[in-house]
Amino acid sequence: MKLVKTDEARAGQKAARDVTDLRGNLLFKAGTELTAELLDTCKQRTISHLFIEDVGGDAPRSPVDLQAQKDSLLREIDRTFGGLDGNATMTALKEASKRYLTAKLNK
Amino acid sequence: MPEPNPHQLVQEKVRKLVDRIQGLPTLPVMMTNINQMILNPRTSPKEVAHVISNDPSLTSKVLRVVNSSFYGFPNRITTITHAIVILGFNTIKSIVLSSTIFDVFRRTVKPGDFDRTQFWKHSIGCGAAAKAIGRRLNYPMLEELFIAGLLHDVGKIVMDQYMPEKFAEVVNVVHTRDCLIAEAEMQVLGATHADVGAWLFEKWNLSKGLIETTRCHHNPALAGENQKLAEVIHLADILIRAMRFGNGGDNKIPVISETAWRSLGLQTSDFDDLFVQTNAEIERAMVFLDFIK
Repeated sequence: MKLVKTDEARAGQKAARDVTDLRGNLLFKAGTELTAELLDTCKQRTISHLFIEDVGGDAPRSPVDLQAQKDSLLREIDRTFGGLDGNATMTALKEASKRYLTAKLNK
Repeated sequence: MPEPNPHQLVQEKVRKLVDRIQGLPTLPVMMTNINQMILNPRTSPKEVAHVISNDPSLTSKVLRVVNSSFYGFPNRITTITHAIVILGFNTIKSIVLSSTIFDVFRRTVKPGDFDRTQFWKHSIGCGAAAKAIGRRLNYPMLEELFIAGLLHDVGKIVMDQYMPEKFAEVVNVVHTRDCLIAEAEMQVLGATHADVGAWLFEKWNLSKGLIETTRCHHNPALAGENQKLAEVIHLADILIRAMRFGNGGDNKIPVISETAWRSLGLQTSDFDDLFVQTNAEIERAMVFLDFIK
């Protein structure tokens, strides 16, 4: 188990302790897999840190995993923009989308 | 007898479509009262605050939004009257309207394949992108842009909630054809969420700008005197899809209208900065995500 800032917790990690808001209301139980929505909830309730299980999902991503995620993301973007290659504005938007989302992935 | 024009044909289809909707909610009386009060130049902030304060849940939501980083005031605002004095009637009306709509369309039917959390994230993201574009263009009313973006797709929720079987067919067509949701709606229903949302806002007597932007966000050239507003929402909808924040029900992206692009006067080199600015606006707007829980 380790304590991480909520901003640094990632979807897919598991909560190691029950998480309650400042009034003590249970938000979710230990063992719950974090989702983007749960992390948003924690941020909105000003929960600054979370105990995270120190196994599995919280391992740093290896360069191979990261590359696989990036490849998958780029394929998804190509699919979303499928059939629009003849349009210069949409092609520029697709390339900007790739730059933005891959930079986010690398953070 | 003259042939009906295409707009009349769509209106007729929407009318037939919504005639099948049973028990569509009316705009809460409180919202109608506020709209009427604001039109009267003699109305005081205290009078409007009194109406809002009769609803403790709404009061708390309004205060949470006005004290959030969305507005970023250094000092805490503790009363609705104070909030109205600082932000003005129209801003408070927009906050009340968005909160009301989140409440009116809270899910009451069993969850289908349409993911409402993703839907509202897309909507909030669209509002945020609209603000980012508006700042870039020095658009005078950023609040109006945010609300128009937030509510542009509300017709999807109307269909999901009040005609779930037909809407499930639409979702199924999207999955099968991997097409835009508006195309699937035309195939299944003969009208789109844009038509249904505009019809609802007309029925609720909301502003012409909100009605026409909702109706024309896929074709802003048809928005008449609200064309610029519709162009911003049209682009914001596409930008937020490119940023993959939330999901409005499909995995495709519409083409940016050439007319709108020229009219807005932006360059393709602006995209990177618009993404960064939209991301910052999303972080400020996160308080609206609370409304959907």
